[in-house]
Amino acid sequence: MKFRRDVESTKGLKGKFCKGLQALRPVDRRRLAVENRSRLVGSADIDSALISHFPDAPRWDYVVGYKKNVPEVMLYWIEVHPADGNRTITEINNKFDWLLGWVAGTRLHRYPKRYCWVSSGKCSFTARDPKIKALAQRGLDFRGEYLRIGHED
Amino acid sequence: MTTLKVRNVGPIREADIQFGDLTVFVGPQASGKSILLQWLKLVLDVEPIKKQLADYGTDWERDTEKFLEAYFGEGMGQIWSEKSQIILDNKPFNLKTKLRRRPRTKSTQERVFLAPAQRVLTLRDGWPRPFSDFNPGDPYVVRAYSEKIRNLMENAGGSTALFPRKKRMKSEYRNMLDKSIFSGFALEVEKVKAQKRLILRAAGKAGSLPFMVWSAGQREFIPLLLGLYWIMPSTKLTKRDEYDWIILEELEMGLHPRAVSTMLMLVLELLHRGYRVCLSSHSPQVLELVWAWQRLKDHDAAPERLADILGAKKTPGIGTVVNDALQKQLRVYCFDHNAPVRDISALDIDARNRDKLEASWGEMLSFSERANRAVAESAVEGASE
Repeated sequence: MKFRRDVESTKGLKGKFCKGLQALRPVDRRRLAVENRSRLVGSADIDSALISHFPDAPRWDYVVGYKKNVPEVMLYWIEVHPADGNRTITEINNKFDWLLGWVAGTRLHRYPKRYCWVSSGKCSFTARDPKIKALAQRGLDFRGEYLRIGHED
Repeated sequence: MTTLKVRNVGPIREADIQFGDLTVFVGPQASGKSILLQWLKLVLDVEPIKKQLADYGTDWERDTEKFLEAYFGEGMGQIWSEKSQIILDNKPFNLKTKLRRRPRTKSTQERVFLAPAQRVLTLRDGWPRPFSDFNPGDPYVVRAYSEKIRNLMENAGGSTALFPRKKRMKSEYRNMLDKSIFSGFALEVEKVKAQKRLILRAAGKAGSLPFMVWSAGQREFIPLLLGLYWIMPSTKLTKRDEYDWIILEELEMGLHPRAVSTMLMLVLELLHRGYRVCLSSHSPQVLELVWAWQRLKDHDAAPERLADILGAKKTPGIGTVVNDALQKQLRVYCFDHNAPVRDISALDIDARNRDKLEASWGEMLSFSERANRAVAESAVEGASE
């Protein structure tokens, strides 16, 4: 599997592949810690790229490719979103539903992956919160304010 | 604010503790939490401790190590070395000098009430053991606690009912304790021939349940309840004036989370009565309360929210207690082997990259985080297959 080719061949993502973490807004990039940057294979800003295709959809933010076990590329589907109340749980669930539906129709679906929610501000949830556990049951991992790529996987 | 500095004492390399109204110590086993709490008591109560030990025939021959063996328990004399230091409010505590003086003959009042983690050992056959019933090598705090609750029981008068009992705690607490721990049973003193013992009795039934058939949680809790009776004498007399500090070690022991909530509500009551409270704990629930409590203070939240967390009814009595609680200062410290004791009072879960220990509440959240991750990843992997 070639991450760059598969990004570029996805409808709406042509020309959206970026090296390293360049697809991420600087403020969001600061929320990521990468164990080995040479293993980063690229990223794409899904939210911006698909705005014209899905203007009213709760679009997901980013995908980042990382060679976790060379040569296998692990995709990190990352949503940077507030985590400061029950309303945000509903929002993140809607976004996650949209992502699963959208990605199922792309070649990116075939990659090993992690779905991660990174808080864009103060967190009002702990790992013990049943709502966070309910998201985990769906496959979405709440990582607090920082996502450590490669460190703990 | 009281500060205690400890250097090179047993497993504690370095600790700088600023006590709040409520102070919580967390950390793995044998990392020094209990030792530090016992030092706090020793520093503040050295004279009454010396007196009680001497009254029961302990002679430490002015030797620090022998005294520490008598106080902390057999084998613990070596926690003190030439490099050890204890400094209370910037004044060095010189134990050697204190031990040179003979114990005072007049009774001296304690300032610190300490309910030790080993409190279950205070009851034998359902009755508190006297100080002299323990081995000389048993920790002083266990022996002294047992003696204190034994005195309370011996001087309880003719009444046989211990729980529920009117004018002992607010009715709201009695109801919470009944629901979470006693489940309709009453705690009573029963006489078998001349021997008194504590028993549990189902409402309206003649038969009694002796100590050995109580649940583990009841066995852990009942010695603590008797201690709480000591420091909460009646609803009218709110505080024993001589005591400033209450130390409760591992209040969660053996208890279901609902009962832990009840215990935490009683901690709020102790604060309301004007005591300063120190807890050691292995319970994430305790830290979860402190975490929420700090944030409710930050948000200037309605006090009832604190009652909500603890499952307490919103009566005027509880309202006063939770309102008062939101004015209190809270501190949390994390102990670890061969590492300085860390102030993690903010319990800031946002601190992930900067301060992993604080973000994981001294690793109390680590298990949940790992469990969440394993479930999330397996859900994704399972769906891909």
